[in-house]
Formats: sequence, C-alpha cells, structure tokens
Amino acid sequence: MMRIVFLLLLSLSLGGIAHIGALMLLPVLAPQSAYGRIEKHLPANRFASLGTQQRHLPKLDPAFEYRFCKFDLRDGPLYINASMDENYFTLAFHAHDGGVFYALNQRSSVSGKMDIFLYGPNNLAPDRETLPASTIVLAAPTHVGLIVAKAFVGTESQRLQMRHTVELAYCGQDEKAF
Amino acid sequence: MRLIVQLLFVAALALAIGLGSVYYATHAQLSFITVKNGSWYAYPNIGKPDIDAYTLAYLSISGEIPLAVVDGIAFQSTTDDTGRTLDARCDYLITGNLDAVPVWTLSLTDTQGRDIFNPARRYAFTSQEILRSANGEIRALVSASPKGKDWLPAPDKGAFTLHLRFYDVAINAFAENRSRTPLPRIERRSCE
Repeated sequence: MMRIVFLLLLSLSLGGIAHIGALMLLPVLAPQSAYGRIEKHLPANRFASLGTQQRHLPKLDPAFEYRFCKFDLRDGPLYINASMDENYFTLAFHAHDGGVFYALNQRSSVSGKMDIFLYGPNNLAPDRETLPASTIVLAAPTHVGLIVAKAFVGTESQRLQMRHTVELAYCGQDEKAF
Repeated sequence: MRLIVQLLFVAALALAIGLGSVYYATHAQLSFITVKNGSWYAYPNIGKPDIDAYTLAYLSISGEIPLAVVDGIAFQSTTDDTGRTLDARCDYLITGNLDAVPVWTLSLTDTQGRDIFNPARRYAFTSQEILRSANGEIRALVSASPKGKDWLPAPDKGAFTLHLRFYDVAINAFAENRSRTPLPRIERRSCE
C-alpha cells in the first residue's frame, strides 16, 4: 500500500516537472506557431502576400488586407518602411513563437511614414548617426520571425485601395529604402 | 521485472499528468489567462511583449497572429448569453453600443478559427458599415439565410465562433476584471 502511494506521489512530482518542461519547450519548438505554419510559403526578407495560403493562419480578421515579411537576421539587419494615409494601419513584429515584440499603428507615423531598422542578436547595434532622425531602431529577440503589415478595410469598396497601401510596405536589406 | 514495470508506470503517469495539464491549461479558457465579459472572452496578455508562459504556450499551438496591445484586443464567443453553444440552425441577434471603440469588426469562423465560405462573400461587419439606431445601438443578425441589412451569414450547420475585435483602443476598459464596459449581447432567436 505504502509503495503504491509512493509511486503515485512520485508520478505527480515528475508530472509537475513534465508540465514545466512542456511549457518551456512549446514556444521553442513551436511547429504550430503562425511562423511554423507559413514559413515555407514566404520568401525571406521581403514583404509578400500569402494569397490562398492565408488559410493556414486561423482567426485572421477578414476585414484587413495583409502582407507578411519573414525575416532572417543572420544575413544582417533589415530596413522596414511603410507609407499610409489616415486609415487604420499597423505594423507588428512577431518572434518565431508568435509572440509580439513590437508593434505600432498609423498614429505613430511621421507624416504618413514609418521607418524601422531591425537588428538581431548577432548584428552590431547600428550607428544612429547614419540613420534618419525619425527612424525607430529595434532589436529582435530572435534571428527569425514575422513582420505583419495590415490595413483596415472599412467597407468592401476600399479593399483595393487598402491592398495598395499594404503593398507599399518595404522590408529588405537596402538602406536606400529610407 | 517488477521494478521496471513500476518505473514505466510512473513515467507514463507523469507524462500524462504533465502534458495533459498543459493541454488543459491552454485549451480550457482558464480564468488566469483569459478575461470574460458576458459570453465573450479574450487573452489579455496575448499581445504583450512580456506574455506569460501559458498564453505563449497557447499561442505556439494555436498558430494565430495575436493582436499587439497597441493594436487592440480580440474577443471570441462560442455561446449565447445563456451559455448555450452557438448553433448554425438558430438565428442570433447581437445588440450593444460600441460607440467608445473607434475601429471594430464582428466576424464568424468555425470552432477551429477558419473562415467559412458563404456565397454572399460576407465575412465581417466593421464599425464603418454597420447601421446604428438613434441611441447608437447596433443590431446584427447572424443567420444561415439572408435577413435584413446587418446580416452576417452563418454556416448551414454545426457550431461556430463569433469574433469581436477592437482596434486602436485602450484594451483595459474592456478586459479589466473590475468595472468593465459591457460588450454586445448575444441573444438566441428562432431555431429551425
């Protein structure tokens, strides 16, 4: 009897360790994260539409137009910029586990533009002098991840215009983008 | 031999307890990672850079792209106000006042979060297109058959999930556990 109680208690405490281990491991492996689901459908370091592959992402708001940039900072830092009007627009930066590490909406733009310099754990921090003053300098917590640009489609008749707005977003290694 | 059997038993039980409890914690909308408001619930930490471990585990399984805190907050509901599962055989009336939210959308998916094709190609309502009564109330009807102007098509059969997303808004007004602004009601009308 004592032995059974001991075995159950042992299982319970090992179960607690397995619980913590699984919690810590899930975001690291994250095969089912948004990044894991769509990385093979996206080119690296530039914005692209997912087209019909967007169905791999659950719970996307249909009232938005999207563009995705899969970033890989092992090749160097990236320049990201977007131009927008007063319509609702956001740029969000996600680590490969799906978590957000930075986001901004059109209210933070400087006269309708956002310039962001993104560098990774292995890149040198940038020389601020060489960047335009309005640039946001951002350190990514991981080498790879997703940048999501999205524009609100208030009425269906605005869809093409908003698609055009997200298509203006740039993500790449060309410093002349600023 | 007996020892080996016992060790295997302990290992299997430990794994079942550990993984089962993680699965449960990330799928059961437990109160320590969700906020409830009427029949709606949301993950208040999901768009924060300092996301908690349980919400992050949920996120890495669910595969959704969360709304960042500066972006907004996404509520979902799988039941009507009385707690009955949303069923496509019934019509639902959604009423409430959302004048405090600059940009919002109301949409519908299956219970896995996938869009459901409908011939009208109508997948969402937005703050810009919905009609409001004189006192600012919205009245949206979710139904499998076309009904009126503010109609959101439901699938032909099965359970579904409603999504109410607020953008460009301080999420705390809706997601704090105390003194929250009420969210729209979901009332079941006639059923087939």
